[in-house]
Amino acid sequence: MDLQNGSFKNKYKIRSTTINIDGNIEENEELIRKIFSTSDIRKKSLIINKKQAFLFYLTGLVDEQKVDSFVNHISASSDELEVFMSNNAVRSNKIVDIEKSILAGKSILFLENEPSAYIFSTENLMQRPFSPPTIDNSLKGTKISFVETYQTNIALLRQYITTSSFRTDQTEIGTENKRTVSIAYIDGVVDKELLSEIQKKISEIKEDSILNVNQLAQLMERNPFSPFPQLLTTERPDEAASALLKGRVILILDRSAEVVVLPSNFLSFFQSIDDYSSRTLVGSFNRILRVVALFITLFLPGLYIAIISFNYEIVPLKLLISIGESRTRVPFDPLVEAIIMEITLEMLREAGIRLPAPISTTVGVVGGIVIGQAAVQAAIVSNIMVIVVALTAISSFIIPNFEMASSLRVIRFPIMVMASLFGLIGLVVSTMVLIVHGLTLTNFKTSYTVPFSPLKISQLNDTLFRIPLRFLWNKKNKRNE
Amino acid sequence: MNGKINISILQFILMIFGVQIGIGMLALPRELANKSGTSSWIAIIFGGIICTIISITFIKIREKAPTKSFVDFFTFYLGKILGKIIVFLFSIYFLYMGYTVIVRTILYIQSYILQQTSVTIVLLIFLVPTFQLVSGGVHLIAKYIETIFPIIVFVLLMLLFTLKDMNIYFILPIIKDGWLPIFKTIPTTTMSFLGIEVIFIIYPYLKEKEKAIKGVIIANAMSTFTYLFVTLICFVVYSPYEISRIYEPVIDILSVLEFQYVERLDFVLLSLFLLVISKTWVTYLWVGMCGITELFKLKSYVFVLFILFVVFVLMTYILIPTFSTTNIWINYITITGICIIIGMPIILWIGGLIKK
Repeated sequence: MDLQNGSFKNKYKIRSTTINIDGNIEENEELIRKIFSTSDIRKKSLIINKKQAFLFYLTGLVDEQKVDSFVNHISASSDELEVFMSNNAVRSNKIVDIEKSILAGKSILFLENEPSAYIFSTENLMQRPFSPPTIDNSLKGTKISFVETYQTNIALLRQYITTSSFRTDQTEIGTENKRTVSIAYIDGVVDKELLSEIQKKISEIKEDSILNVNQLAQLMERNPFSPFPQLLTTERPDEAASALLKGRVILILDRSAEVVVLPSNFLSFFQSIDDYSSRTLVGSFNRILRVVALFITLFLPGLYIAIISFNYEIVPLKLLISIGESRTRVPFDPLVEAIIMEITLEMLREAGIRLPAPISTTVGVVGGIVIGQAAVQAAIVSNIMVIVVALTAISSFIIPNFEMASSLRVIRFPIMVMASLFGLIGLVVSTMVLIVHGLTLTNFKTSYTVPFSPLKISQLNDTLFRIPLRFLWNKKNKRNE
Repeated sequence: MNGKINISILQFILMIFGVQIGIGMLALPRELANKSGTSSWIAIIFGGIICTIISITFIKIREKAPTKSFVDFFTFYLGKILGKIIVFLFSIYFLYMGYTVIVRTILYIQSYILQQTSVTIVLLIFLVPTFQLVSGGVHLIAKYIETIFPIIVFVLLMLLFTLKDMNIYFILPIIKDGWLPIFKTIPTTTMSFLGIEVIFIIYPYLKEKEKAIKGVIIANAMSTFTYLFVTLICFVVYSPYEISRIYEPVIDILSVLEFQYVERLDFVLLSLFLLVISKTWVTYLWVGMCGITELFKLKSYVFVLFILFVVFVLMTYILIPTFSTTNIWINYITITGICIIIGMPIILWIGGLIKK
């Protein structure tokens, strides 16, 4: 068998049609060594029932204890070998299966004069212990986030949704590096058309080596150039479970600690699990706060620039005098001043992500207080500008979803430019463009801006105000979204 | 007809309401007061009733061929050549109307907010969302109008704050000079309800066609109420002599509003009101484009739209419109509009008789 030359595809072609050579374990060993010419392949030489046997596995992927226990059992039950093998191993004589199994962490046993190999499950589920969520923090939700192994993630979801109509479909995506994608849904609640469309979309993904689920979400979005994120990713099982109960579909990618919720609408990026865990008054207040935060993030710098440059008559006289005083020494245009401060803040924020924890707090203090104060005293920026920029940053951190907050932070720059060119009218035109653009986004046949447009009054009770749960979860409303 | 039939009745109502409430609202009180004094607000009610009847007539005519598109409908009734000519003239009228509304709005902006920017530049930036909306089709426009509707309510509520200077004696006695001046004013008020001719083109897209008549009545009632509201407030705040001197009473009234944290609220409200007026010109432009593309069977809608906008910008740059030139245009348009809404049912009825 000539496996030395030939492209990868060529190798495969030969492989799919060859089987193991009859019982000659020397040749089998050569085959395995040729396929896995890596140094982490291990071979154990065993004697079973007076016959020679070789056990192959990749260290690191197997749990050594399981391997040892299998070897012990085989040696112990040497008279009932057939029974033991049929109970604990899978037989295969195809090279493709053998290769896939070794790569999945199973061990392969070649027995002399046996025309097929035995595959034992000895995988080591490499999994870190559960930890609290890092990005989607909340006060009252559970403190567990998803881990990287999909079996555990599905198990976590099963602890929240304890009905048997919770189903998962599993497919593999990728050409060279295959990854398992699980589609989780609750049968009976989910829309069948949605499900088949999602399955179709996944099967159309031809890209290889998808690193994590955010990339998967980007590949499944309909409009990748839009400034708004269209698919929600979350790392909290309780959020995923509540989405499942509303009839949404969850995609779980192996080796990724987040899941994708499909379909999502604009409002779902502004909801957090705390809203439902607090009482009506507090929940509604938080929601209103988030809407205010949305407007401040998008429009406050632009509004400041528009007011200073064009429409200063809007501001009452006293405030105008203090703004004017703080701006007298600044040599720059309001737009340039705003951009300097905003860019500095964005750089500080990015820097805070890269640094280890003790240094990042120092950077926050240095950047925020020292640079801000020093810049004001050096008359590069005005006091009011620092306040505006700080308020904008804080309100962008209120938004529960990190993707949406980042997108909004980026959108405010063009809005600032428009405000500096055309004042309030520039703001109005930017709002028009954003609204119209948001209305054109659709997501697997549901509109992105439900329930505002098309207007569904019955679903408005969960948007700005969150009415008490006993009314919200009325049978009629519960499965409606 | 290209596209799905799924405009809900609420969107239909709001679309007709949106087309009617545009820039007419800003200057209406002055025109009415000029014609027949401060008891002319009664004429609005009559104008509304007349327009409701005309709209119901439109719907009844349209019901005969509910899913035919713009061109097909007219050729069905009037034969190929005459139908196509009528559709072409209709489309030109709609495009012209849309252009006039947008230019007039920009003139308002120029006179109140951005005094030193030329009309062409402001037109350019307003054409960007217009392009998005018109190329998105009627479904996008309907959704947009649905979303913008709360702003109208907000602006109207803000008008209530001006009532602290009101003087009810300005509109008493209610019938000052008798009924004759009121009847003479009815044509003027009918002109402000001029959006109803778009019913012809929007009707096929409506999902619940049996509610169309109810919808039209509600839309006209809403417009009547809005005009009444605005006119009455202007009449009680301004004296009868003053109101015929102020060009845009509605905007002027808002400039008196002053809160503790925002002075000159009229800037903010005028800017918000731009969103409201945008509904009018977007719908008109879409209807005009609809007619032109169906007539000439054009495939690349977007390209033609782009050319049209370039033409608009060039026209504005060369003609430099002012308030007086747009006044002349508006005169032509309103006369044409009245001819259309009265003449169209008659022509179609005659055409139907001839066909039989």
